[in-house]
Amino acid sequence: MSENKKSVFNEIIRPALVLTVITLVTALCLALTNAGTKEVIKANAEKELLRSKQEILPAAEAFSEEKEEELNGKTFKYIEGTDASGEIVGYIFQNSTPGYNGPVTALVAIDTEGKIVDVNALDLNETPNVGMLVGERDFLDQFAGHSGEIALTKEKAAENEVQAVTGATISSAAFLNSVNEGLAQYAAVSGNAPEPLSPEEQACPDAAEFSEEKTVEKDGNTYTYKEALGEDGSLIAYIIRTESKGYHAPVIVLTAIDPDGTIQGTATVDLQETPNLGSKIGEEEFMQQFVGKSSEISLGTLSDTSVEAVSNATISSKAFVDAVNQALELFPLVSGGAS
Amino acid sequence: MSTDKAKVKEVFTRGLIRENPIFRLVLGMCSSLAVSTTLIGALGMSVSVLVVLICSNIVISLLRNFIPNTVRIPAYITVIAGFVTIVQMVIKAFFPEIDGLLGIYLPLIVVNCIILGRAEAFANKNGVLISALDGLSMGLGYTIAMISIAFIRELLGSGTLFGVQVIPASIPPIMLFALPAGGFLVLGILMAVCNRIAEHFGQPKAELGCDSCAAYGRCPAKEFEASQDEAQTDADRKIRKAGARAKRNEEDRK
Repeated sequence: MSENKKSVFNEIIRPALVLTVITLVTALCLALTNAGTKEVIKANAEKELLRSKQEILPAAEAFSEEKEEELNGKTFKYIEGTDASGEIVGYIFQNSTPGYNGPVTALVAIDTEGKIVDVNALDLNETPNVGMLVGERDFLDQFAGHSGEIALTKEKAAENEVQAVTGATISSAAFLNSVNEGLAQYAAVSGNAPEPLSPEEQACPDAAEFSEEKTVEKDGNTYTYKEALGEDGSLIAYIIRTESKGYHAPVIVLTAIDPDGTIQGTATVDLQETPNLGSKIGEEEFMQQFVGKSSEISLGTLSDTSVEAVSNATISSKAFVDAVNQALELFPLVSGGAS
Repeated sequence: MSTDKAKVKEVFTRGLIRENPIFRLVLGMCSSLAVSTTLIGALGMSVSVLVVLICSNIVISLLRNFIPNTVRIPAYITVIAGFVTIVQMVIKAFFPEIDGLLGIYLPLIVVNCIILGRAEAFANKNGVLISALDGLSMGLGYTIAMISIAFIRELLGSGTLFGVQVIPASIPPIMLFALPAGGFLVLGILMAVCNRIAEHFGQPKAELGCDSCAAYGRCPAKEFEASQDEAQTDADRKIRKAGARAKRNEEDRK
C-alpha cells in the first residue's frame, strides 16, 4: 500500500509540483524584468510616436491628444499640431487600407489650407523591393502640396495625380486610398466638407431657393409639391412629390418639372430598396435617363418615352417610373394652380 | 584531464561546422529563412538565439535531476519561453530598432527547434559548464549560418551590406534573393558547401536517411531503428526456417 502511494506521488504529484515551481519561478523572473523595462519601453514608444509626428509636420511644436470626428457615419481619430503660440498649424490623420500583404497605413499631415505637408507609410509589410518601395521617399515625396483628392497613374503624374510604384499597383493604390481618406477627413475636421445635397437640391440643382410646401388634390388623394425659384426669383420648376410601392417600402420620388412640362431632374427620399440592387434606382446613372422627357414613360430600351430598368431590380425601377408618371399627370394641375 | 580538454574542444567545435544547427542539423529553418534578408536582422536574431540558448542550457542542466522525465518537455518550454520573453523585453527597451526588424520571429524563438533540441539532446544529460559551452557552440554555429545567408541575400537582393550601399544603385538588385525563394536557394547551396566541408573533416558522406545525420549518435531514432532491425532479422530467420522445412518435406516426399 505504501509503495503504491509512493508511486502515485512520483508519477503524478511530483511532476505537477515541479512544473508548478518552475512556472512560478519563471513568472517571478518575468515580473522582475517587466518592472525594470516597462517604463523604458513606454517612453521609447512615446518618443518614437512624437518623432514620427514631428517628422511629417515639422512646423508643429506640440501635438494634441487624439481627437474624434465623424465622417460618413464612421468615427476617426486625428491629432492637431500646434506651434509655440498654441495656434493650430496642421492635422495628422492615420488610415489603413488592405494592401498586397496586409494593411497599408498612411500617416498624412495636412496644413490649415488643406494642402498635404508630408506623408509617411507605417508598419509596411509588402513584398521586398516591390510593394515595400511604397515606403520610399521617391514615392512618398510626390504627395506634398496636393489637396482635394488624388488619383493614381502609371504614366508621368499630371495635376492631382501621383505615379504608382512600377509593378506595385496594389500597394500604391492602397497607400493612395489611405491618403485620400485622410484628405476627406481633413475636410470634415476643418468644416470644409460639402454639405450633403437635400433631395430637392438634387432634383433641381439650379434652384436658389424653394417655396413652402403646397398641396394639390387629384382623384381624392392629396399630393405635395414645392416651387423651385432661380436666383432672380423666377420659377424654374415644380418639384412634385409622389410615391409608389417598391420592393421593400414605398419609393418616394421628387420630380422637378419645368414650366414647359419637361423633366429637369429626379431624386429619391429615404430610399429603402435592396442595397446594390434596388438601391441603384437612387443613383445618377438611372435617374439621369428621365431628364428631358415630358410624356408618360415606360420601361424598355432608352428612348424618348422609355427608360432602361436597373438590371435585377425591375420592381424598384417600375415603382420609380410609376412615381414619375404620377408627377407628370399631376403637372397640369400644379402648373394650372400656380398661374 | 586530457580527456576533459579533448571533450571541451570537441563540444566547442562541434556546433560550428560539423553539427552546425542550420546547415547540418537542419533546425530552426523558419527564422533562418525569414530574418536573413538583412545582416542587421540576422545579427540581432543570432545574438538573441545565442543568449537564450546558453541561458536555457545552463538552467536545464542545473535542473536535470530535479525535472521528472514525464514533464520534461513542458518544463523546458517554460524555461525557454521565460528567457525569450526576458530577451524580448530587454530588446524592446534598449534596442527598439532591432525589435522592429525581428518582429514576430523574436517571440518565435520559443519554438525554435535548436533550443529545445539542445535541451533534450545535451543539457539534460551533461554538467552545467559543458552545457553552457554547447549552447555557445551551437549559438555561434547559428550565427555563422545566419550571417552567411544574410550576407549573400542582402548583397545580391538589395545591393547593400549592413544597410550601406555596396553595389551601385544604378545596377538593379536581383530581387529574387530578397524573396523567400531566394532564401531557399541560398540555404540549399550553403548547406551543400557545408556538407562538403564536414566530409573533409571526417564526417560520413551526406546521404538521404539517418546514417549521415550529424545527430545520429545521440538520436532516439537509432534505438528504434535497431529494434526494428532486430525484429526484421527475427522474422527473416523464421521465414528461412519455414522455407528450409518445406524444402526438406518436399525432398522427403520425393
